[in-house]
Amino acid sequence: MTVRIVTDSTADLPVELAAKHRIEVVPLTVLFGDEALLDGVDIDTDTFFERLARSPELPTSSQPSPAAFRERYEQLVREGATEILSIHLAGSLSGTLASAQQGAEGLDVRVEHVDSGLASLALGLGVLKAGRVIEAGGSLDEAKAQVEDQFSRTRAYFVLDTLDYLLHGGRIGRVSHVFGTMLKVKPVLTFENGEVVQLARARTQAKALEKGIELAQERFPLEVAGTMHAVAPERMQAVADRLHELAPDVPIVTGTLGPTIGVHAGPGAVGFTVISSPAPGG
Amino acid sequence: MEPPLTLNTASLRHVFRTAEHWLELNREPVNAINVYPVPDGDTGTNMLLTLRAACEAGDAREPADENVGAYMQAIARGALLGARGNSGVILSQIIRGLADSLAESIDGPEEVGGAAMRGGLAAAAEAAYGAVAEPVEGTMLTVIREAAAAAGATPQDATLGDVLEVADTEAEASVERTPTLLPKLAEAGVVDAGGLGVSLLLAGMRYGYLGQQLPEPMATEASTVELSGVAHGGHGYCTEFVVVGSGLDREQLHVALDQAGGESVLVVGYDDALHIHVHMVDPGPAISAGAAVGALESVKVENMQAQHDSWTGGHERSCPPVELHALGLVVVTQGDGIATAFRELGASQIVDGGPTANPSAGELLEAARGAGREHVFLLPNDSNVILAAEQAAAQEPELITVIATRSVAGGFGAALAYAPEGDAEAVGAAMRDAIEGVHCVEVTRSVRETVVEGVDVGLGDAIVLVDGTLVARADSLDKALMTGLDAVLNGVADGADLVTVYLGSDAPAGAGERVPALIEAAHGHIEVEVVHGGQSHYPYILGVE
Repeated sequence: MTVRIVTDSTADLPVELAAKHRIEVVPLTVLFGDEALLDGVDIDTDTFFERLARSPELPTSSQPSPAAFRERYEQLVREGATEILSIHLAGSLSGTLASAQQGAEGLDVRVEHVDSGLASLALGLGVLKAGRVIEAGGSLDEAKAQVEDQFSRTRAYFVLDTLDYLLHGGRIGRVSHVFGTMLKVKPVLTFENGEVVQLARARTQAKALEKGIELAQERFPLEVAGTMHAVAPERMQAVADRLHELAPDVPIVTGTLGPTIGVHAGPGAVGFTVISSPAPGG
Repeated sequence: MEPPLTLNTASLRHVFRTAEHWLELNREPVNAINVYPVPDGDTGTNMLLTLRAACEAGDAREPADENVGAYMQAIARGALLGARGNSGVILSQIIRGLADSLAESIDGPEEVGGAAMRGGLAAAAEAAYGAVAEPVEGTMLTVIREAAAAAGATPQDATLGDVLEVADTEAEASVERTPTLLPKLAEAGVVDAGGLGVSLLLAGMRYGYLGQQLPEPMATEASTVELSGVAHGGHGYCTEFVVVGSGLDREQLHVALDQAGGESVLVVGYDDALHIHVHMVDPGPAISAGAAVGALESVKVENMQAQHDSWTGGHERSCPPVELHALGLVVVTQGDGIATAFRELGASQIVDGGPTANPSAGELLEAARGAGREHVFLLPNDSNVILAAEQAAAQEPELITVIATRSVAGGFGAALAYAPEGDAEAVGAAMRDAIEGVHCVEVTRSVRETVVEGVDVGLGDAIVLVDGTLVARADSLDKALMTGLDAVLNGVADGADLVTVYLGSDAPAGAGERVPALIEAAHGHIEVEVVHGGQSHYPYILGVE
């Protein structure tokens, strides 16, 4: 049995890390006007945010086609895969998962799909977990079970510098009531049942992140944590430092928000994700 | 002297004059509790002037030995033409019903006895109800009806004295029950003013009949009225006039006024004279409708908003909730910009109030009752409002939690932590925690001479308060602001990274650019946000966090 792992570019996994664990990344597409660029293939993170700053119009994103998934799955079969675990961005936020499922139809190997209900590093850390289970000789079912278990222990926290991008991309969900014209308000956002929801709000990004960390402490002890940013490395580092201070023994993975997530989060976004330790005896 | 068994015209005149006198003595207590239908504080006056007009019309018909029916018709017509206000018009109908009935069923020659009075009161109640398109209970209608019903239940041979006594006693009891029938009264903590007027009329008539000396009048208890309970339906103008003509059609005029958008429409009278009372945004169409059918007399137009404002002190204003959340948020504040900002943070009700206009507990209670499905948080935003807020919460402890904010800035801190759903206790705790991180600097001008920290403050000097405590005077508003900001920054261990400047309606020109520049020049790391708060009295309010 040869099990291979597939995800999409919203997992924000660094290319080398994905390669190391033999994880296949199917790119979403970022569109500046009519110009379509494959996330991580045609455009990297730094180039994307540079271009975003210059662009008169806001970019949009689009999911991979079922054919894109089909080709990738078929390629893995040619490379010897007998089973495929395909783990993706929240199905409620994007049609990516649906494309992946359609792409797998009629394929003569077993393909299992997992809806993370998450995005970015929160998704990426689950994908890495699956990679490690397979590397250790685990089965597809074991890997899938462990990934789903990890997602159930995962919470992501985002504080955007501006909500304009989230609004433009239509992923605003139940956050819409925080919009105001009088006072600047920075909401602490998370994914809940695959929806972007507001957990708390503050007047500054620093205070909102502080609030997010306070909320995250309810989920301690942690197995692992991750921090990420979009052109805000210093603010992200402050969050990583604070998490390290609170949980010195917990590994902290850092990363950047890639182009597709960047379309919706906008520059200045800072996020972190915590994965609680499994319950004792569980 | 024994009271007479029946009343002739001369003794009826004395009876009504005594009632008028008794109403006059108690006019202010009635005015003070006038919250329904429009809280304009003139029910006592209106009823008195209506009764006086009635008595004068009766007196004008000398000689005194004229028959009772003619005398009663004279006072009924006098009441109609002289009626003032909603309560006066209804009183005029009570008098008319009494008059019509007595004129028809006088016991014995030209005199009024027990049976006639029984019938008269019943007719009075019927006429009162007939004047009103949609009768509301807990008002003068209820009081006259219940008094008449009690009188009607007296034995056939009951004396006039018995009938008046029973009617008077029942009227008093009925007045006490009005708050149970009309929630507005209960919320305001009063009995119905018009109902009290009816009770005073009956008591006064009985004193007149008994020939007794009038007792001490009631005390005025304006201070006990909860202004907030006072639904204010009355915007626009209260318009009253008399139309004199022939073949006047009461129904037709009523319909015309309804169609013109009139509210509280009363059209009463005879086919040659109608008294019109109507509330309208624009009095013009009402007057035109009257002029179309006859000659106008005694036209009176009053601005109800002005009446209401002068009565309440002008500090009631709440906005309807846009969407009723499980957890509601009621905010006491003033200034349109500040109110808007609170609404954007989720406030379902804004109660106008602040340092110079404190809302009452009842007002807060009413706002809270319409603000949330399960629980409501109340932000007083001023130390002088906290007590009223807590009184309101004590009335509805299951519904209301007071988050004791002492300033607008603290209020914003708490409002940020508010969530429209979730566990009320947890949200409340988060709101309380959020107040801690925000300090408030308020800059104003002194309204009196005082001494602050050994410094003499003169009238009109710029002064600054930090978290509600006066800390300094300064030569200018800007200097006061910077002194206050420094005082906050010196006292905050972690420093501050955001200052929100709320500009008042009387902020100096150019402050929106000058103040952020001043603060950024002195404290480069602080982000400054300017909001046009629109508050009065305080040119600058700063939230420092």
